[in-house]
Amino acid sequence: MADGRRRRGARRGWIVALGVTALAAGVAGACTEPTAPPAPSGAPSGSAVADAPVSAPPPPPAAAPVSPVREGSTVARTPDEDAIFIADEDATSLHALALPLGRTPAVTSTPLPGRPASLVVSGRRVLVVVRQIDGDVTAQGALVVFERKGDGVELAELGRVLLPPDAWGVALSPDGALALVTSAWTHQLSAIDLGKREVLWSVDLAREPRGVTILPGGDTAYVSHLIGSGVTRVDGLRSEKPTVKRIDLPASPLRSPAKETLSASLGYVAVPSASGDRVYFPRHALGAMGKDAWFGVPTVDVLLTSKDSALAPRRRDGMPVMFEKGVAETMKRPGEAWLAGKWGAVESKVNVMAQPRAAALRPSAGTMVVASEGAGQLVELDTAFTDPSIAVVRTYPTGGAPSGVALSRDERTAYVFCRSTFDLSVVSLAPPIADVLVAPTRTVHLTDDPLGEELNKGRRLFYGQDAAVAPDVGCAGCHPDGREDAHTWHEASLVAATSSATSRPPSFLSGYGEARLFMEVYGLGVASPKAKGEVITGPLGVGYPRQTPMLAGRVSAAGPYGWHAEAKTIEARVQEGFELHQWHDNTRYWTGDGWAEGRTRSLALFVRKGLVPPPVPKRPLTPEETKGKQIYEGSTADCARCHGPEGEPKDRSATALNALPTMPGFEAEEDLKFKPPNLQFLAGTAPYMHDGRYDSLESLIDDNHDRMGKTSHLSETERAALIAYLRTL
Amino acid sequence: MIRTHHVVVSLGVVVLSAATVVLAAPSGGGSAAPSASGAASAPSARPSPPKPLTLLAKGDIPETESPPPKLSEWRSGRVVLMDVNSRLGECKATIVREWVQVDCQKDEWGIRPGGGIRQIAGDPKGVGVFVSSNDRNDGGKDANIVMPLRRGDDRVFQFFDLHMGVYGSSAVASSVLEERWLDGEDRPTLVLR
Repeated sequence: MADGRRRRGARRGWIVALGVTALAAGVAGACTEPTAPPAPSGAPSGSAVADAPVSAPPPPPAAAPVSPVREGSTVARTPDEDAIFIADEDATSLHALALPLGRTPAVTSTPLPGRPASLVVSGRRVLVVVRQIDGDVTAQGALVVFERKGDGVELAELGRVLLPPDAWGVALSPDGALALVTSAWTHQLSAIDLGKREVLWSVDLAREPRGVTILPGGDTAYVSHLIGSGVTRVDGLRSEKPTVKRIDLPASPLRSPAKETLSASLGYVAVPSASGDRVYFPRHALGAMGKDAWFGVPTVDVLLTSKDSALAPRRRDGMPVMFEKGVAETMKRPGEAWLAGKWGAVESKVNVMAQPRAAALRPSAGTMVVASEGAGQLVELDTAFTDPSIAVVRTYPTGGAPSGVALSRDERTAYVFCRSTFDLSVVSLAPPIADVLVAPTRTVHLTDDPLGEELNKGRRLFYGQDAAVAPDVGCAGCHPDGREDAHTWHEASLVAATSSATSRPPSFLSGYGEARLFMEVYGLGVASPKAKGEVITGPLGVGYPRQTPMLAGRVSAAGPYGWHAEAKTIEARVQEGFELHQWHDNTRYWTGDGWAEGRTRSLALFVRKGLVPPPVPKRPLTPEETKGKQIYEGSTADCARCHGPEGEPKDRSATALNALPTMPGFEAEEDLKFKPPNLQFLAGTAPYMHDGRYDSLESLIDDNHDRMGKTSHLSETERAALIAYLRTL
Repeated sequence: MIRTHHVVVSLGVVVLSAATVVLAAPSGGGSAAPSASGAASAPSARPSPPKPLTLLAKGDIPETESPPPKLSEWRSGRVVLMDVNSRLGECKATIVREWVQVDCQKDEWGIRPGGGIRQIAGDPKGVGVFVSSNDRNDGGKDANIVMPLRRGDDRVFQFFDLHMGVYGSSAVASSVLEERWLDGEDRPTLVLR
C-alpha cells in the first residue's frame, strides 16, 4: 500500500509536466521520433499547483542502481542508460545498441553458445540465460556472464555457469550477489553465487517454471509457471536447503463462472511491487467469462505476499444490479445479452492483451505495461485495481510478437523486443492522465530471420493474431514455444436450439461454465447422438475433451493428423485449425482467394522447422530403463506396435480404444478410434490421454487395464521400468 | 483510451490549470448533489473558487456502524478525491460518516450515460445501485452507488453504457469501480476507470 500512496503523489506530479509534454506532442506529435527522453518531471511549480493538495513527485534517483530491473527479460537497459541489450533466441545472438539512439543506430551482435531466453544487467555486467549449450550432449543450459569493454557496447565473456537443461528465467538478489535461474522443461530452480560463479543449489518445482523474482528482503522468491494456476514460493535462498511451497492462485477470480476455479497458462513473468508486498502475474485465465472469450481471457493475477493469497475478490452471483430500460431491452436479444451484462463478470477486451508475454511496472504513472505477444502491442494497465487487466489505460502498437520490455529511467519510453519481426520497438509512453498524442513507435530492425522469408511468415502467423487463422489469439496462445498448455478443451459442435439462433461450426471452448454461457447467449444446444435431431440445452456435457497437443518435435511425419487421423497431411490439419481455433465463422477470410493456402504452407513449414524441441540429454539407458525398453518393444505389452519403436508411430491410422468413463462436463465420445499419439518428450507433457484424465504416467499405467496394449500382468518393478523408459523418449 | 480527441485538442488549456481543473472538477457537469462547500455557501456575485478536494485520510472513516444517510445528509456530505478517477467531471464520491455515494452524471456530450450497474464481487450488505431511465431509452443519465466503507471490504462494480452503433444499439461495459479496505491499511481505497 505504501507503494500505492507514493504512486498517487507521483501521478499527480505528472500533471505539472503534462503541459510541456502535451504541447510538445501536439506540435511535434506524429512526425517526430523519440530520441533522448525528456527530463523527469520535476517538483510542482506555479500557483495553481502550489494550492493543490498534491504531493511532490519522487526525485530521480541520485545514483543509478546496480540493476534497473532485477527480473530478466529479453530486453534490458544499463543503469546509466547508455546501452540496451537484447536476447534474441531465434538468432542465437545478444544484440546491443548505444543509447540514446541516433538516426541510424548501429546494432552490435554477439554470438552466443546457445539460444538465449532472457538476460539481466548488473552494473557493467550482462548476464544471459542460454537454454541449452549448442552441441552439448548433456543439453545443459548456462548463465553466461559478460562484461562491457570500455564505454562501448562490446562485451567480453567472463565465464559461464552450467545449469539444468532449458534454462529460461533469471532474477537478481537486491545486492546483486545471487542469481536465480529457472529451467523450464526440467522444472528446476537454481541459485548461483555470482561472485564465485557456481551453482549453490537446484530444487525441483512444478512443471514449466518461467518467470522468477526475488523480494526486496533477499530471502524469498516467487516463480511463475507456464501451465497451471499455481505459483511457487521459495524461502531461505541463502541457505543450503531452501523450502519450496506451492501456492494456489486461481486465475481471474472476477471472471470465473459460478463454482469454478480457473486454471491458467502463459505465466511467463512475475513482477514485484517496489516494497514486495505484491507480485503481479500476467497470464491467461482458461475458462474465464467474457464476450467472445471462447479461449478465456488474459489477466493479471495479483498475489499478496503477506498472506500468499489473491488480491482480487471472487465474483459472486445474486448481487445488486440495475439497468436503464434501453440497456435492458438490448440484453433480451440473442447474442446481445452478453456475458457480463446478463451474468455479471467484469468485462475486458479479450484479445487486446492476448498472450501476455512480458511486463514492467511504471510506478510514476501507477500502471504496468504488458507486452501482448498475440496482439503485437504494449498494453498499459492501472495497477490500482485488484486485477489490473480490467483497467486498460492505453495500448501502443509494437512489432510482431513482443517478448520483452524495458523502461527508460524516466518511464516515458519503453524498449520492446519483437520476436517475429526481429525489431526493437521504441515506444513513447503517454502521461498518465489523458489520451495525449505521443510520438509514434519507432522500430529498429536488428537482424533478419535466420530461417528465411517463408518461414518468417509462418513465425508471424504462429505468434500473432490473424484474421484468417485465429483472430483472437495466436497459435502460441495454446502451444507456447510449440509446447502445450496442459489444458483440456471442449471441442464443441453446437446447434441452434431456438428459431433465431444459428448453428456453429466446431470450435474449441476453454471452460465448461463458459461454454454453457455461450450456449445460453447464442441460443445453442448440444445435438444428442442418441436421439438424432434432438437438441439438448440442459445441464449436460459440452463438447469432446481434447488436451492441447505438443507440436515442437512431434510433427515431422507426413500424416495423417487430427485426433481421429482425419487430416491426411499437416497442411490439411492446419487448415482445419483455422475453423477450430475461433468462435466466429471467419471462413470468408480463407476461401477462394488463396489466403488459406499461403498461410497453411507457411505455418506448416514453421511448426516443422521453426519450433525447437525440448532438450533431451543423450546418454545410455540405465538398467531399469533398458528393462522398460524391452517391455515397451516386447510383443506382450505391445506398446511399440502402435506408438513406434521410439515413441514415434509408424502407422498413424486411427485405432479403436475401449470406452473410458465420460469426463465430467464433456460429452461422451462418439468415435472411439484415435490416432496413436507421438510419445516423444512424454515425460514433460503431463497430464496424459487425449482428455488429460491422468496426472501421471503411473496413474495411466495403473488404470490401463489392457485398454492399450497389455499392462495388467506387469509387476510393480516392471511397471516402474516401463515408466522409466517412457520418460526417456 | 478513456477520453476522446476533443480532450486532446483542449489539453493545453486543461493542463495549464491542471491542478484546479482536474483535481477540483467533480462539482461540474450538472451534479445533483452539491459539494460540501457549494451547499454551505450563499450565492454571491462572484463565487469563490471551490475548495480543492482531498483524498480520504486515516481517521476520516469511523469504524462504528451507522444507518445509511438520509438525502439531507448526502447534500451536506464531503466530496472527496477518489484514488483513481478517470471519469472526473462525471463521477464524484461523497462521504457521510462511514458511507460513500459514487454518483455519475451524463457528461455534456452525452457520451457517458449511466446505462447500468452490477455489483460483481464483495459484500452486498448495505449496497444500493440506482440507474435512471428516461422516455428516450437512450442509456439513462444518472448512475449511483451507495455503500458502507468497512474494514475488509473488497467490492467491485461494473458500469454499462448503451452503445449506438450502425446496426442498432447494444449494451457495452464501460467503467469499473473498486472499493477496498484491506487489513493493515488505514483507510479505504476508491478507484474508478
